[in-house]
Amino acid sequence: MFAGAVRETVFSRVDIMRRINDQFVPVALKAALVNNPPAGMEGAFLAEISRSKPAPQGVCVANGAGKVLAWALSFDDNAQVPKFLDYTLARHKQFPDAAKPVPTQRFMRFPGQPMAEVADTRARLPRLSPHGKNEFCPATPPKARGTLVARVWGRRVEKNGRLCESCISQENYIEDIFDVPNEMQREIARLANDGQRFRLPENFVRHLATYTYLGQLDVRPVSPPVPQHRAREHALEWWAAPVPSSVKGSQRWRITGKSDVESSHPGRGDGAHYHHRVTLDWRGFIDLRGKAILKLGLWAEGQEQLQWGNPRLRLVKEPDVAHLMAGRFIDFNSPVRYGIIGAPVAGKNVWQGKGPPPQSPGPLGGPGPALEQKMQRLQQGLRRLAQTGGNPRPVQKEIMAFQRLMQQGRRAEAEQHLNRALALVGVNPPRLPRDLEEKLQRVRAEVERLLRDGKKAEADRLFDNLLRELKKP
Amino acid sequence: MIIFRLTLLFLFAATLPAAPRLDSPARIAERIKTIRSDDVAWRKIAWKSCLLEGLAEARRTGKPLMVWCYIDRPVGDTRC
Repeated sequence: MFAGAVRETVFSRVDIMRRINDQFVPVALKAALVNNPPAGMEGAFLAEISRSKPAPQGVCVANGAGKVLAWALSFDDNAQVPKFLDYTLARHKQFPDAAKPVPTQRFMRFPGQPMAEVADTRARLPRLSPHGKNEFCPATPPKARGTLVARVWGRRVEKNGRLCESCISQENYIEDIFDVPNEMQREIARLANDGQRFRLPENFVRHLATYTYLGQLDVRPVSPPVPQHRAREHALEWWAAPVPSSVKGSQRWRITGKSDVESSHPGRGDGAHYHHRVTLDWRGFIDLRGKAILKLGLWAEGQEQLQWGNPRLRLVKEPDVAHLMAGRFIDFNSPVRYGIIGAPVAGKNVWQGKGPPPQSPGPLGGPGPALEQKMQRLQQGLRRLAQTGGNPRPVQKEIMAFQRLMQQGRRAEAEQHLNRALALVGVNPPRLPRDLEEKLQRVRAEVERLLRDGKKAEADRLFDNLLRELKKP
Repeated sequence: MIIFRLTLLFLFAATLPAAPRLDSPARIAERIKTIRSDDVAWRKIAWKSCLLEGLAEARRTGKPLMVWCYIDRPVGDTRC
């Protein structure tokens, strides 16, 4: 709830928006990146931010060296939000760079509920340089060619039949973006091959229904990220019928159908509710060319019911900014309208490299950068083991258990097996002293910079010099 | 009598307006325009999604970074 609540109560305030644009450099980061920083220069800066975080999500202010000045998870009242900006600007004057140690101040609520300060480790961060021409930012990884990027808009209709006017809250208005992967498109193209009316695959309809709802991420009616939820799919039935197409080389299919999905939570016994049902009638089209969707357009009308949170929150007199983590109670049962437009990914967002594109790290899926790094280290360890004639069988056993559990979505248990495998191949060497670790990081950052600048020969020379030193007795 | 009633029902159904066809990009775009808000408050902050870009600008301008760390997708017109 935190992110949605902050967006509504803090980042939608005109005075705050103006000040952030004028006095700060606003950066929004995926929690997955901050919590599991990737390798490389950006990862080092993300790790520095992550080091002092009081919770997986939050708002902080940092200086240009990447040192965090203060974190806030909520505010005593609305008046304290601009005061937090004043406070961080004053700290920025005091600590504009990393010349002296920068302790991080943290607040559960600003300023009334401070948390323990986090001291500066004085770890040297790499020299800052932008992403190179052939690099991508881990925050916006490229997608496989052909991936359909769909945008969805949704709005609640008031009892008087008019569209809800306020678009600040997500229970009134949403915009979202999601991908339709190539495999899903191929399946539709296969069914369309006969040229006859056909029923669209349920997994495709479910995928679109997953993003067509009002409210924050937590209340997704299909596979909600709420533990111990109950979910029901009452209807996911869409049909496609061929119609003449004006686009040469493509076939247009008229889409009609219904989706009716519901999720709920039995409750925690403290009065908190969660129930969400979205019932929609759909109309639209899909343009198919070969095995891919060339264009998609959909319109849905229907009814949506959502109850989320604890009704007692309505009795609490404190403002929403005082309990951003808890959010607020939501309760509506209204007509709704949705529209979706989709087109293949284009331009620099298309993955140009070999093999599959990098996975976008997400707390809700994928191995994530931390596990990926461990897997890479394991591969290196296995190679070393093979070179030294070690027995790989116990390691292979752990890897098989890891793969099986990952497929079952039991990530935490899977990671334990991966850790055991790493221990077996002896990949976890003793930690280097901090000064040596910093020197290694500097060498790595310098080599990365040279490669980005296309100076591979210089990078080679740098390594050759270091290796020559190693050969000396 | 039954035939008469069925005929009446058929005639009534025929007078009902059919749901308009929405099988072209222009028609869908028209509908979406009716619900889309171009003036969303939270979009008025110029959030960057790249930390390196943000740090470079902070150093260039002497301003601090306002970092919003949140689940799922970064910035702009997405759900959070």
